[in-house]
Amino acid sequence: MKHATWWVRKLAVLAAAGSLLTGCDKKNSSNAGQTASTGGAVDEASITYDKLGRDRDTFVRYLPANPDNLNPIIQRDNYSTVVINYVFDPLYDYDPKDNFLLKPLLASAMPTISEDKKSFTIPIRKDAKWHDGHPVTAHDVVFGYEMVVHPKVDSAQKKSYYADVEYFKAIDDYTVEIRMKKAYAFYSNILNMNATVPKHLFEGVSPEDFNNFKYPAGHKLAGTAYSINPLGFGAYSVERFEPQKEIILVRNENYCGPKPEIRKIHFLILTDTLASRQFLKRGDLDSFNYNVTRQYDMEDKNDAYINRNFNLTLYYKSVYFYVGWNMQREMFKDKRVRLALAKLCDVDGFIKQVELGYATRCIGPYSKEFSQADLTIKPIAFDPKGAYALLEEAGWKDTDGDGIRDKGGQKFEFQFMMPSKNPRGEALSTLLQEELKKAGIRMTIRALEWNAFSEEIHNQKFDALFSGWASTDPDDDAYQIFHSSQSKERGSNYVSYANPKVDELLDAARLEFDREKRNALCKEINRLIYDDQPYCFVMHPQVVSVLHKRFKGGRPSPLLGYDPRAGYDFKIVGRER
Amino acid sequence: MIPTLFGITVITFTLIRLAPGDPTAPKVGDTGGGLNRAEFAREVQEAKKKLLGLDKPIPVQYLTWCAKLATFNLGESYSKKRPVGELIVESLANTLKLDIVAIFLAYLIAVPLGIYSATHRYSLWDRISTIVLFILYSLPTFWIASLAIIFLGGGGGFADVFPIAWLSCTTPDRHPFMGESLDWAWHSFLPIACLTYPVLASLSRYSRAGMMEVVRQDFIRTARAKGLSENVVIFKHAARNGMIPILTLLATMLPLMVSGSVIIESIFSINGMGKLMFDAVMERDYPVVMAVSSLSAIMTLFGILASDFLYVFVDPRISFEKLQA
Repeated sequence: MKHATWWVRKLAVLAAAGSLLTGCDKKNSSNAGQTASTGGAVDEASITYDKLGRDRDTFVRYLPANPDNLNPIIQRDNYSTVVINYVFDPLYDYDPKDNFLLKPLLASAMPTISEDKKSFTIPIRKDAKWHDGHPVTAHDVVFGYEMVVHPKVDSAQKKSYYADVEYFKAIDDYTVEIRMKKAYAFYSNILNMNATVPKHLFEGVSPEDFNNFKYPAGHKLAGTAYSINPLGFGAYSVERFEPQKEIILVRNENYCGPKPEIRKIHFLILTDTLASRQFLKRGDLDSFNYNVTRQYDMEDKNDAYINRNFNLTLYYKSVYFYVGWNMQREMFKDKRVRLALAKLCDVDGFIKQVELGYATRCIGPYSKEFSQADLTIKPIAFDPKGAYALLEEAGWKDTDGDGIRDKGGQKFEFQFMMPSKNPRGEALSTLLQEELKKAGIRMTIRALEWNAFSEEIHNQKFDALFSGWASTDPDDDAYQIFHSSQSKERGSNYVSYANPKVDELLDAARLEFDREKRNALCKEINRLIYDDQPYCFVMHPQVVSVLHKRFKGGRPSPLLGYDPRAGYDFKIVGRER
Repeated sequence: MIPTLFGITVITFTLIRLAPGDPTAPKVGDTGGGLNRAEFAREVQEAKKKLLGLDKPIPVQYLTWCAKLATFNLGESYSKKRPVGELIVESLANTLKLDIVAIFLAYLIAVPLGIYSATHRYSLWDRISTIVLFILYSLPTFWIASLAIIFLGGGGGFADVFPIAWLSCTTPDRHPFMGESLDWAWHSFLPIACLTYPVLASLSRYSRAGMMEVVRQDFIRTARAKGLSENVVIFKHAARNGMIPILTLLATMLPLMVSGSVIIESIFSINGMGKLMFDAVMERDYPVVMAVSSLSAIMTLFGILASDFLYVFVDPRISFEKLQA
């Protein structure tokens, strides 16, 4: 799970992570009548696609910030992940066509899980080759693991995913055994991680030098940093990377998997949102995600150029926004108060006015796109009267007549904390503040720069906060955020939620290896958490994106958006093979 | 100079570490998988602190940094894992080229403009230029840059006059007939224009004020009285004296040249010093922050020194000999 507010702060993380699809599926659109040019045959003569003389088979997209490090072991920013996903393959990938179950990618078959559920034996494809022609073997997979866990290697982010791994072992050249310290049912993100690096290239390199490795003399890339031009084995290889400007990926013709249709992917690094939108409008980009839906709804929706050349896609990513109540504060300990606050938060109004309808209500910690969420839950409706009754019942009455409710000498006032420069947070907080004022609750708003905000929430120095979570895994373990043990030591349960029944179910889900049964447990957890309202779950924002008409985007994944790699049905119109 | 520099680095070093945020903190609340996530995340963070040398007390870290600096080792960026020196060279080239041209242009236009305004005080032209320059001065650069991107960048049906990102063409559309320097000039037109106009506006006011101060002095009247031509009076006698404050301003611009402009660089996606510093501060990439801020500090100090030397050349009343005497 990742903080989605960071996403908002960086303007467009997931936007870059790319995502859209042709307008062919109208069912995706919850905004009736708002669909742009959808479906229909493409009139070749009417579309503009090679204004700058680019190859028709090149897909041009943009990144709103420079990817810092393309070494999959060291990397930690989202833009690098986007690029690395093309250049490297994990052992297994989530199959967008099959309910996001794992499917083999570098592996040649599903893992054999031992009796005690602690060992995974994984066969590796024999035809996988590094871009320089060397075969990819089990030793490369093990070497990658060794680098991640080595204390001298700066791989903090990856290290935490291997917390429960005892070892990786090469049984033979094409078989890997992963041994866990404890049985753990949410193992899929270990198998889905890009952490295989070419052992033959790093032969004799010390772990310290691994961090800033440069290709040695004699190599055709001598002197270039591995972090800028990594040798991988994925569907694409890096042809050119000019930091802060552009990255060109070219299709790996020796790729062992199904070959993608798109021959080249050209990333333009454009740090200004206005400039990137101008690039779109003059035909220099093939895809664009609107981070401010208003820009689409109020302006580009009626732009003739965009309608002629682009198809609109609306879909959801596994992201949600919430207001968290710090349950160490006396007033938020009472469930009735939290429920009253949820009734005072006019989410439907917010979605309509601020998000212009490009969002849906969030009903719990799991993404609606995956099978863990209980979709039967009815979102709490905006109901001030019901809220007042609940507050009265909880003993919050205005006894001294100053317009503010109080209880036992304490006034009902609190601070709402949010990251600065966050339009969503600003709009929601103002809306809520207004409603609470009518209800006799004083709420003050405090916006903090991201680092400071993060520091304050982990030190639990807040009353209420606005933030978001983005799931990176269809098989999500809500333990990190809602298990009572995670409210200490700067854990992610900073609202100090504790429900013994939820704890028990979270523990049980981690040991349940049957996906169906596990999902049933998750649905139960979903119901209990929504009932307890530790967060006021606000909404899942919709991704509003356009894709050039010469491409067909296939089904967009809530994790990656649409993706030109094979397996995602990303095609060039008129050239489907 | 050395003690000042020492002071500046100590303060910068302390300030950036006192700022909330931690480069080793798991990014975006990502504590990974595992059964004891919070505890393990903490362990990993401690290990990373140790790896980066951040587990030691701040004074020790500062001394280590100084020792490295003495051997011209600026350290390595935490996030990019590349030597800071290398990153600075990449960015500094872009920033210097833009800023030198912008400041040169600003002087080239502002000085004659100021002289003309001062000698033709309260004329129609003086009044017009005053109003125009004040308007220019008060226009925020980000706004002007955004307007330029919209109306000159070719999007939405407007003319495609200038490129709106980077300082050179992207690989596939490099113009074969356009040489590298022409390509650069074309790309940097908008950024340079946006960097020039606020400097130009303020400089010309300074130059006007400087000249006005001088032209009403006795020695100018004497020069006129002894029958010198108006050109000689203005350019030889008045201008040399009137331009002294302008030179001091040049010194203050020297550090600006190396620190760049984060606004312009972000808007035009330029890999420059302002952007480098800004990103480093946001990520708490201490080695980069320290290197860039020290470089600006050194340039400020050199700027002050340089302006002192320049005085000697421009102002006949100041010389080293007299000081020694």
